[in-house]
Amino acid sequence: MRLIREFSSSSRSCKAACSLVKPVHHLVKIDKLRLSPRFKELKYAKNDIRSPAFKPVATHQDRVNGHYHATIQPDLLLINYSHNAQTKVGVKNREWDYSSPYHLNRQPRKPKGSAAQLPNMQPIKWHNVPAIESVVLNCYVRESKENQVLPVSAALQLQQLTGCKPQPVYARTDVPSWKVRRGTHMGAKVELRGRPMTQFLSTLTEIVLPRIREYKGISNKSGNRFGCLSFGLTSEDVKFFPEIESNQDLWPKTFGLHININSTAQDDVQARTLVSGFGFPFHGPEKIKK
Amino acid sequence: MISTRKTTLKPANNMVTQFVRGKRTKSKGGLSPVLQRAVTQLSVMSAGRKQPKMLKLSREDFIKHQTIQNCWAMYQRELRDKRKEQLRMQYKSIEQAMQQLQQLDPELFDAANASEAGKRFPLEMKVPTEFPPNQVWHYNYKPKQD
Amino acid sequence: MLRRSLHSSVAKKNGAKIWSDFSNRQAALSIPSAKVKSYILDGTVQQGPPSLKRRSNRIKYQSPEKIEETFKICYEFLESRSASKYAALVKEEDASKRLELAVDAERYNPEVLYNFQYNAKVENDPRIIDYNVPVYRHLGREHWKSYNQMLLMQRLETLAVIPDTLPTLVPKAEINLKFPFSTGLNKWVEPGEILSSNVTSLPPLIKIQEYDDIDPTSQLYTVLIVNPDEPDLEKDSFKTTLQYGLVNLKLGFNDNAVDARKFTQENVIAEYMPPVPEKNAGTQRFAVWVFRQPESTELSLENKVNRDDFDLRQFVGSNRLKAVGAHLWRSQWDSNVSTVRAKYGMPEGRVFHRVRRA
Repeated sequence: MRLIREFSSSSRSCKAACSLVKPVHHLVKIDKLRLSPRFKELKYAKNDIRSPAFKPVATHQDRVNGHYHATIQPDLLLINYSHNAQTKVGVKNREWDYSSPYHLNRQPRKPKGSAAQLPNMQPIKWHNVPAIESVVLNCYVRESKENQVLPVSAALQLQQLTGCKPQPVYARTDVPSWKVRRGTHMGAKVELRGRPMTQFLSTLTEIVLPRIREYKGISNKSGNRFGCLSFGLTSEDVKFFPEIESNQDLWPKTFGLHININSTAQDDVQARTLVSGFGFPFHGPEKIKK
Repeated sequence: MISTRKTTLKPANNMVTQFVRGKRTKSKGGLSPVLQRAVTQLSVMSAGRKQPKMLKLSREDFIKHQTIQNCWAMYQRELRDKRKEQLRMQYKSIEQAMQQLQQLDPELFDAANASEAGKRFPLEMKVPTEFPPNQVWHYNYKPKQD
Repeated sequence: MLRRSLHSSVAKKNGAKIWSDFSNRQAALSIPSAKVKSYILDGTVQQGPPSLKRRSNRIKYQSPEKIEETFKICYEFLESRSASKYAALVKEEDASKRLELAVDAERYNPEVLYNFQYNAKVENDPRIIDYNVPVYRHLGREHWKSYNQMLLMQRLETLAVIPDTLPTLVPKAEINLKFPFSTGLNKWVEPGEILSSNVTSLPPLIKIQEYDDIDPTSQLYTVLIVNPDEPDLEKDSFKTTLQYGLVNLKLGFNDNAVDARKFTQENVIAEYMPPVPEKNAGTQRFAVWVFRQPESTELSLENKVNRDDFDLRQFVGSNRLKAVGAHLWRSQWDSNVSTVRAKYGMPEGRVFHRVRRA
């Protein structure tokens, strides 16, 4: 027996169902910021030269981006081509069969063999060729629980490496075994997109990684299943960045960092193929689902 | 006047405090060197004083600047559309070739349609630079044998 | 790369100089000042930008480096794209697509941008900003939407003019309101402003700027000013009075200010009655509604409207009017109200008192 829910659920649960939002009688979208008479310059778009936030962006050729569009993108289209490929539907939540009255309003059942729903795998076509979306650098300094000066240096190091303003990272929870208290300033992170990202990638693959001793590459096991690869650099590796190397005496202490490469690839296998096109080596056995 | 005479008499490294007109009584660099270093680092990061002066364009130059930006945006848009169209055509031609191959030779079709998951771009492939390298071609190069 | 692609495309299209050949282009598409035009298009004159008035400023001023050469390249590029739009325009039949193409062909023209940005948009000079030209209407609409439209809709909503007078408004035309200078306020009224009774003692000038592609030769307009806050003691409520009613107005894209010169007695269904709020009756709203009349039908003046208890929704419904724009101001009792009443021969005003319940 399946119980059909009524249109109005509030009458049965005896909840007050009135909206506290005043009704609007027109369809014009109102941007209150623009209506305010204050700060005229701040109302300009960021790419308007009259805005104080204006920053010239396209000042030079973007080599890595050009390489991606000229070489990697068409190749990836061919590599990922599969004839008459169909969308592979990922596991989804299951409906209850409503054989029991307790099924009503119960949360749907978890999918089979997975704790969460998985996205569908679309066949790769011209409009969804994988691309690198962003690179997130994350620098967590373990010693900063004793020395609160260290996260400042770590943030400055990130800024030196990327040229972008880093965000502070705080400990989210108390971890007694690591002696970490919630809210302690523990490091910095920065998200790179566009030109700073391609600049950082090319520095990494052309200058830093080749000089690391016995560097094998990104592990083939790395990845979060949905096209995001992660690897790390130790505090020794960071010294190979030209920004740090050129004035080493200013950097008595350097900090290792985690690098997450977020891509629009739908799984890690595609993401690894994509990232290898930018000159990153990979090592170790790779697990490929048939 | 008196104080100036007195200070000239006293050696500078003497730690006896004396009232001197116009001199700060509280010590200025009260921070320890480590903290001072952190303060310097924070000031390096803050954008406060590094803002370049805003450009003041005359009306005519502003219109010129706008035209340049409009042109650049249009050029980029055309480039994007062209790339997308080219990728679409590439996909269509791959699809067409595979269809023909499927009819002509199923064996070759299977080989062509084999999954290439896990493929890597060769590590020797470099992102092109504006100028050629000093050594243009490695004549004695042999790929590594695993 | 840009330079290369551009030169090849220019050579191919052969439609260059489309922006500078004024044999069959409207004059409004060109910058009227010859000095400014030559400074922008031909390059730096030795004496600095002509928009700077003081000579010392002109000498001091430095253009960004290489802006001249870059501008030339970009101008040619945009001009070649415009030429292809004009070529498509000749072949296109569909009216809406033609309009779109006509806008696209001129919207990046630096002369058009200069004219629009640095000249009066409300009190436009048709030799500079000519709203008959589609691109200026497009730019005007964008400009209106970026501020004035939002302001109007916010005021209509917060002061509850919608839904108190009409249920809603889909704004199509920009309405600006001004009272004659002799009353002491020489500016365009911001929607919702509280005006003194002296200012509003004479009929306002209403400017109706259409941005849509309508036919101005056949389209007729109705303008109504209503006051929904007139106290109605019998019903212990409020009633709507009609302060001003004009029908069958014919407007152009440029010549669109409605004042006494624009209409005759045949257009008036209700003479202007200035706002004279009674003492302690509170702030009263005066909503200006502008309607498009259904295709080329004139409203008849025969059936006289009931001004004192005016039913706006019934009037709009029976005449099939389409609201395209609105405006509003507010009035309060002030010491000048009695003078205005005497001038128009109205009876003495009432004074409301608080009545305690028994």
